[in-house]
Amino acid sequence: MTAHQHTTTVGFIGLGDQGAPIARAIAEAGFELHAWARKARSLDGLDGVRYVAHQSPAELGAVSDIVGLCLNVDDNVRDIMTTGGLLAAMRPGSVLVNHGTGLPAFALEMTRLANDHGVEALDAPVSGGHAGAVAKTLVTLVGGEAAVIDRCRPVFESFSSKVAVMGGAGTGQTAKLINNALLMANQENLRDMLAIADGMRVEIPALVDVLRAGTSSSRALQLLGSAVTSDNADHLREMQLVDMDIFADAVHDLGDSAAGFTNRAVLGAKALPELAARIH
Amino acid sequence: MTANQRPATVGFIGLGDQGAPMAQAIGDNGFGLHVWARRPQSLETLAGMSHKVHDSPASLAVAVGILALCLPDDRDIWDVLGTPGVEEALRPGLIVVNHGTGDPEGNREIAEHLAGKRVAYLDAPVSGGGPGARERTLTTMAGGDRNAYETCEPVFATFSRTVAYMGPSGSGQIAKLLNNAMTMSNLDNAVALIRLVSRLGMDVRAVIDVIDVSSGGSAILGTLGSDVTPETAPHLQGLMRKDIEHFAEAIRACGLDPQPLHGRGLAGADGLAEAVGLLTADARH
Repeated sequence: MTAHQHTTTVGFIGLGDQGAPIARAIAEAGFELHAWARKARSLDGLDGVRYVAHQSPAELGAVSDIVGLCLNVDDNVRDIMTTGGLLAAMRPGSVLVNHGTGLPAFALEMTRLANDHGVEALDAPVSGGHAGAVAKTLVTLVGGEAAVIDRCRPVFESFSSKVAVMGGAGTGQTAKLINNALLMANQENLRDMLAIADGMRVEIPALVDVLRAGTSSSRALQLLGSAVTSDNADHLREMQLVDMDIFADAVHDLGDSAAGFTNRAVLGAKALPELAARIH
Repeated sequence: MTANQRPATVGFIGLGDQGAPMAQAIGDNGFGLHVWARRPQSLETLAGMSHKVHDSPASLAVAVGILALCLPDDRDIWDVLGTPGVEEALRPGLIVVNHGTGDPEGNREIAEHLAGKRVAYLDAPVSGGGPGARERTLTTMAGGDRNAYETCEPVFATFSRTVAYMGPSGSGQIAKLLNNAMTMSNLDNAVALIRLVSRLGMDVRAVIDVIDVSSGGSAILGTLGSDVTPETAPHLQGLMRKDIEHFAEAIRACGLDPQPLHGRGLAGADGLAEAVGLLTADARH
C-alpha cells in the first residue's frame, strides 16, 4: 500500500484506542513514522507497519517534522511538551499537533509555548471514534495558522474523510466541543421521547426503526446499537461528561444563554447507558 | 396470507403533492390502480399510466380491495365514509388505509366504526413529504389489524424506503407525532447551537458543515440552509407549530405530559428562520 514515500517525518505519541490506528494510517500512507510510548506494550498497536521506536519524547521530537499527540487530557499534553523535553528537542519550523479533545484556551497556551521554541502548533481533535480511525474516515477539525495547516494536511488526510479548517488556534477544539455537545443534547431528546412512548401503545423497536429512517434521525440515534452498546456505554458516558466539563468552561463567558443547552447535553450524557440498554 | 394471491386492486383518493406520486408508484408496480378526484385536473398527474377513473367514491370503493386515502385530516376520512353510497360499498375483506397525519384517538374511532362493518382499517401516515414521495423513499408507519398490514405492505413498499408495523390502531399516528416532535426537538438543539457558534464569532457555515458529517449531525440539521432557506423558513415555521401543538394535544389526550418535547419543538420552530439566516448570512457576505 505504500505507493508513495513522503519525505516528511512524523512522530506520534499516544498509541491508545484512537491514536494507534491513526499512527498506522500515517505509516501506511508512506510517511516515515517515529513512535514513543510510556509503556513498551503500547507499541504492539503498530505491529505490521514500518516505524522507528524511540527512547524518549525528546529523541522522537529531534527527528520529526510533525509530531502528533493523541493523549487523554490537556495536562498530559503540557507534561510531554515541557517536562518531557519534547518542545526543547523539536527543530525550529517543525509542527506540534494536538489530536486530543481539550480546552480552546489550552490550545492558545500550547501555541504560545511552542512558538517560544520556534515550533508551530495546531489543535486538530478528531471525531469518529475508534471505528472511524480504523476505517480512516475520521473528521479532523483543525485550528491554527493556514500555512501550517496546509503543510500537515497530507498527514491528516491519511486517516480522515474530511479535514475541516475552523479558523485560528483553539477553533478546532471549540468546534469539536460543540459537536459533542450537540450529540449529547440529541441523546437527551431520545430519552424524553422514550419516556412518552412508554406510555403509548406503540412497539418501541419498530418506532426506533422508523425514527432512524426519517426526518427525526440523528447520529445520536444511529450510533446507539452500532458504535454505542451496553458494553461501552458506561465508559462513553464518563468521556462525554468530561467533554461537557470542558464545554461548560469554554462557553462560560456566554453566560445563561449557553447554560440551558449545556444542562440538556449533560443530562443526555448521563442517559447514555439507559439509552444503550433500550435502543439496539 | 389470504386465499386470494393476485396483486390487490388499490383505490386512491387524495392526489395532492404527496398523494399523486404515491399513487403513481402503486400503479407502476403492477397493482390495479383506481382513482377518484374531486377536481378532474388532479387526474392529470396520472397521464400516461394505466389507471381507472371513477365518478364517485362509492364506485371506487366497490371496485377495490384496498382503499387508500391521502387527505389533510381525520375529518376528511369521515367525509369520504359519509359520501352517499360508500356505506353500502363497505364489505367484509375491504381494507381502508389512512395515509394522512391525524389524531391517534380519532383514528381508533374510525377503526372501531369500520370494524362494525368487518372492514379492516390501518392508520399509515408517511414521513418524507412531497420530495420523499417522488423519490419513493417515504417512511410509512402503520397501526391496526396485523393481517391487513401484511396484505398492504407490498403496496406501501412501492413508495417507501422504510415500512414498519407500529402496533394497534392509532399507533401509526403516534409514531408520526413522535417523529415530528423528535425532528423539531433536534431542530431546537441545532438552533441553540447555531446561536452559540455565532456568538463565539466563528464561521457558522464552516462549523455546521463539519458537524453535519460528525457525531452531532441530524437529519434536520442537514436541511438547514439547503432544503430550508430564508425564503421557505417562515412557511415551514407555521406548519411546524401546527404539528407540535397537534402532538401535545394527542399526548395529553392519552393522559400523558407532552413536555419537555412540546416546549423544545415550539422553540425549534420559533428559531428556525433566525438559524437559517445566521447560516446563510456567512455565505452571502
